[in-house]
Amino acid sequence: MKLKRLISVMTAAVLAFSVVSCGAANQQNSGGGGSQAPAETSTAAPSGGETASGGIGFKEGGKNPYTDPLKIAWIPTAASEANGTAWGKGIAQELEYWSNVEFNIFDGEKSAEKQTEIIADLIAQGYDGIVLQAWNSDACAQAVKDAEAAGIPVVCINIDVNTPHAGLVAMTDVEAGYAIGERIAADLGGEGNVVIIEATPGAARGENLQTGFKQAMENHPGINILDSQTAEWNMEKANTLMQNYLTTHGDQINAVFAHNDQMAEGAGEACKNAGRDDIMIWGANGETKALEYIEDGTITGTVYTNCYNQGATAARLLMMYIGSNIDTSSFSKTPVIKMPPMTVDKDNVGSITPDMRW
Amino acid sequence: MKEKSGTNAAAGVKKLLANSRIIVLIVLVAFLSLTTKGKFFTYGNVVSILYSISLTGIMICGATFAVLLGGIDRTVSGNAAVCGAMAATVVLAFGQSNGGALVALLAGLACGIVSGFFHGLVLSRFAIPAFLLTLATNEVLYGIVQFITGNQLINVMRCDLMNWIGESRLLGIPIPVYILAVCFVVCYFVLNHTVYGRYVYATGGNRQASELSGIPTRRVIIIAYTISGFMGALSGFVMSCMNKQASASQAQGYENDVLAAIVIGGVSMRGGSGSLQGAMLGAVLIGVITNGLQLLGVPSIYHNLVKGVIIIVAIAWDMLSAARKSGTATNPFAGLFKSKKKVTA
Repeated sequence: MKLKRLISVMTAAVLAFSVVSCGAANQQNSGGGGSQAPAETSTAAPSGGETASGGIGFKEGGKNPYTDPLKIAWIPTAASEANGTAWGKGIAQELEYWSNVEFNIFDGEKSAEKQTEIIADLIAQGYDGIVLQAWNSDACAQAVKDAEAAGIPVVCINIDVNTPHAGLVAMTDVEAGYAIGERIAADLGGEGNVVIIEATPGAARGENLQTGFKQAMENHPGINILDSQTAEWNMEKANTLMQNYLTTHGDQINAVFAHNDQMAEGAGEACKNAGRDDIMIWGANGETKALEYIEDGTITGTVYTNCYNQGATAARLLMMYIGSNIDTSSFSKTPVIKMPPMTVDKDNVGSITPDMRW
Repeated sequence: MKEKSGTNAAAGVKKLLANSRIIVLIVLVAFLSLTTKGKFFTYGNVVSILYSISLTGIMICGATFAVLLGGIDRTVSGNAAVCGAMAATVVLAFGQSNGGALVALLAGLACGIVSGFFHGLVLSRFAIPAFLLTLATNEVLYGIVQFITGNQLINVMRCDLMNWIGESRLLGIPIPVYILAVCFVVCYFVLNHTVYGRYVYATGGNRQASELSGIPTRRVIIIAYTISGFMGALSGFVMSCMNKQASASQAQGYENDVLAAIVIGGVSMRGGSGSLQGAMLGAVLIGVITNGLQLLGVPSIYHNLVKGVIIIVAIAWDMLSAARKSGTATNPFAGLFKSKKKVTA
């Protein structure tokens, strides 16, 4: 058990260094033109690990992560969603190595006000660390600022808040949208028509995926976006929307880009019923069912992220801060860890083993 | 205006015109047929609209009973979620066999029936507002779903019977639309051609008077909520078949769509008046608006705005015509029009 703890702390330390160096590397590379990533990402907070004065602040009297009783909270936007559950499971698995850590989950109920309320309660209860999937980058910012000021490091998952804090562990979104756009363009040979099934209007992840996808489309003037409407993250609504797209645009549609897997699956069902197996359908996230749909050919592909790993990474980062005396409230920029995206199609879906599926 | 009388045909047309929803629907259909270059009024698109309202439609068939009684059933979504989760769990336990799917269906429907029976029992015996009770118990039902699913998706992809219900078409029409049609016909028959149906209207109109005239109002209420629970659960099972999964947030928010359709359809929230066909027309109206906006390529950010405005127009027109029929005493626009006349005079 002790050995596992030691390995975890060492991993966290290595990660912390990689965060700082990645931040620096990102700054060097910006505009340098990586092979696939768009030049600028619209992630809420820029990456980097230094403070305004160029150093990291330290605080006195931190807790010992091995012996002191610790309380850590996970606040997903909605506890009932597949990725929220998978992140929570990843965090819990990592924190099992510390028998002195009490881990609790609080449902954000798709409300920034609710999340703000929960964070205020956690500050009052003297929690030692928070992992947050913010519902809204602006509305949750003050609560995170308060928590950091109270000495509680807050690590965000996927959606960041607009204030510097301990860290962000994110799936790629702008990059994922860009990668899917480039992939569709390549498969269509640079000519064709695409329809988009959007997330609920205002959802940050959907907007970022859309931004990345449109950046890719700018490189391919031969590809037209015929239509782009919301199905509110919802499978049955995406099914109906796709039927309507087929009614309106008929044979013109060559490809579909959906902002999540559920909607891609709904579009896949609609195309299957309409006998249109020529349309390529791309989703994003990489949940288990989507991988099965890729295997049976109902949808073409997705961008997979290992959510267990993402949750565990957030937990490791948090434990590193708790044990390090680093004063995360002194940060002027939020360190960012981007989870490696994996573009999955029928050829490589088998490489995602059952234990990696969520 | 009240004193005017005309021929039977004129009265018929007038009666039809008095139903604002039909007028709005006809105007919408005509407008969309013209603007979408004939794409709207096709067999495929009409089927698509019916498919899009099939889940809410099944829920409406049950929830209308509760509204006709002067109550409300916000647990239609919770019942759908519990049924979906229960059915998915059971069918997986049976190795996704067809027999397992039937057991799963029965288990899921049983959950809905028990839930509906409970609500009926409580509401018939205690003076608790139905809105408050079902608001609270819907949360309880979703809590149960989170417990059953462990907050994870339960995927059911290899059950032939469930896939048949979710995917297949007969004469180009998806199975869920047939299920909606059967539910509608049965509930329509119960409400309009049975003694129980009369009891529902009577109890909803005036419970005390109904009780005094010997109607077993408690039993009427219990049966109504049980039907609502059953329909909610059935809708949840169909949804799980369509999506090949059950999730902890399944059908969340559907209760609002159902209620909106029922109210737009002219069913009085005070109970005792309105009809199932009216409620279904409300659902069709919402379905047509959504479909039309998508066919016209109207950006999603405007959908709610346009939908809201059309719905307000339909309801305002309805209120106005009802007020005209019953005299100006209940006309919400009476003062408004009078003052306007004074200004112009």
